[in-house]
Amino acid sequence: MPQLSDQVVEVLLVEDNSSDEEMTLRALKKANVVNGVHVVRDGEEALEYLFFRGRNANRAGRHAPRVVLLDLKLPKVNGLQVLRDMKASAVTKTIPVVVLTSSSQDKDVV
Amino acid sequence: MSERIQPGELSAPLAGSVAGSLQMLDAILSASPSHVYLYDSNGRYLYANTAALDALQLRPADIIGKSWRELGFPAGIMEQFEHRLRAVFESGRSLTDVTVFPVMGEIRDYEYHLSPVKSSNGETTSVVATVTDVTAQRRATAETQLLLSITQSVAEAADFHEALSLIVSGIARHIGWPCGSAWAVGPATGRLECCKAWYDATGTLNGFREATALQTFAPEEGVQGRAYSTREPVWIADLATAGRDDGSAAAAPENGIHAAFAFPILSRGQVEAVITLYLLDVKPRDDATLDLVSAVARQVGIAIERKYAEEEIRRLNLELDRRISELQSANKELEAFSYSVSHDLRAPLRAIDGYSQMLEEDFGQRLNEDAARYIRTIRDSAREMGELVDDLLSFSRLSRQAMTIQEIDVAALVGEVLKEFKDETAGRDVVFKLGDLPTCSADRALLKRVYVNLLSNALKYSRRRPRALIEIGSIRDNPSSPATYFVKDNGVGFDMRYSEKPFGVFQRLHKAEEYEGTGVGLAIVQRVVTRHGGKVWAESKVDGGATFYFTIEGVQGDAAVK
Repeated sequence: MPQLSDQVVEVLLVEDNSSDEEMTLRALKKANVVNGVHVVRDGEEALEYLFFRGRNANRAGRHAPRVVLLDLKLPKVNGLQVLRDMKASAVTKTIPVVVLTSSSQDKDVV
Repeated sequence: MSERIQPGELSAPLAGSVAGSLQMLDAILSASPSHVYLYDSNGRYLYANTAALDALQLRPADIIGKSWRELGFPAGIMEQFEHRLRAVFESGRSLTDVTVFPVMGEIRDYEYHLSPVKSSNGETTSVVATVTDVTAQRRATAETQLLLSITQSVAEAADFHEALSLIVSGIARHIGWPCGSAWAVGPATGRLECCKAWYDATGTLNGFREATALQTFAPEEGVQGRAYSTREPVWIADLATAGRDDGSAAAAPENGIHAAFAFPILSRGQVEAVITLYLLDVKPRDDATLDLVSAVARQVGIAIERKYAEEEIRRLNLELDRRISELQSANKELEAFSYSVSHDLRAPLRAIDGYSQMLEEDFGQRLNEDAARYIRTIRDSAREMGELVDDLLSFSRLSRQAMTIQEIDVAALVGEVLKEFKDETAGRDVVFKLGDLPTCSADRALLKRVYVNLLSNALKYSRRRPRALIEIGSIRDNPSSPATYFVKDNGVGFDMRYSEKPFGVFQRLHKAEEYEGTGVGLAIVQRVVTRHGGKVWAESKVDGGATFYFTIEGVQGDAAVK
């Protein structure tokens, strides 16, 4: 089975909770989104993936995901910061982002 | 008070003859407490009334036809008076002045009025002097001023010792004693120690000061010690004969000091200090001085008490500030806590619900009915807990979020809420009866929340009625008083014994199977109303409907902490 990162990544899922990850992947699968889902576990990793930094400096394809599913409460760099960085860059600002959160805090409701 | 009789007002037949007038005047003026004299143009006494003669201890024959020089009155005082008298003769106009005069060995204060007696051709032939003893008034005024200045000194003094200095010098100056000191119990020694307050009008008592200041006294020793232990003034006519036990007995006579007088200053039932005063002469106990000093001591005590009270208020305010900042930081922590509750508690809940769902979907076919029911129960409970977490969070957020107070059209707001309930009441027979709903000052979103919760409550508990009747209105004593708003239903009601209970968080009066809900709705109502400075209460009986009342008053837009 080929690695996900070798394929065209359609969906970038940023989620640190493995149950949430599993449920999200299951929901995507049920919606027939089977391939092209890449999962990262924290904000830093998400930024590295999106901006080709660190371990992802030379990742295959070097193209942007079609959509980002973004949790807000993340280790290292939180989801809002990821969103801010994405919106500040000409390359990533046009990528649609779906925020996944159960927080009803005003500051998290964008 | 005696009235001054103006000679010009006498009847015509008597006015012609001075001698005739005097008989008449004497009869009238002998009743007057003021001293009345009549002088001729050479300053000789033509008349003196009974009060005047009594004060001078003279008979009429001793004084009539004589001048003050012949009578041996004090020259310094009388020359001044004679000068004034001459002015009245020359000008023909009356005048008023004050003077002192020794009467029976005591210098007293007098106010006198000089008034011309004129002949028919307008010439001043004699002058009437009406003299009133104002010693008591002048003393009272001086004492009032003394009390006032001492009270002010205490209030303005930087510390107690500075206040004592001002008190000692103020009293000593007032009663004319040349030396004074203040004593307080040293916290370390438990003995009376001389404070820095020291008054020496003579400037020659340094030896005495050193001898006094270097000594300490047991709380029963010496003049100050006795004033301290008895809490009463102590008076010693002559320290030289009082024995070694009495105060600065040894040092006093060497420095020419004889009389001593000590009095305690009491505040809150404690002797705060003892003030001692010293006189160079021997002087027996004098009640006037004692009374004055007692009054001063009382006043000082009150001033000290007030100062303590002010300090206490200041301390309490500081404490309050400290508590507020504590509360604010606790509040911040709570906010952080509720954030993690919202996130961290929900994540496992989501997993419980999600995985149960996955189990149901993937293995449902292979599970028997019991297993399927277990899974449903797990999912229902997870959802319920999710609601509890949501409600609890919104309840805690209500207490923190800042309020924007504005004039609210309550009728319009209620109309808005009713529109939102349209779906919920679909298929039910519900009659809403709207009464008078006057405006009030409140936070609009929060007040709306109150109505949403009260109406949702009313709709829920009237669900089993064929026709739900919900009345929304207000009552007030008069059109200008604040309104009491109410929401009344014809639902199942509750026992008034538990009328406080529904306002508590997670408190319910009905079984969850009968009426759903988390038991937070009315707690939110109470929180909102309380934050608006109002009250909320309920009236109900079992199966007889319920009415919830609330007031919104005195709202100033509080801090987010309550």
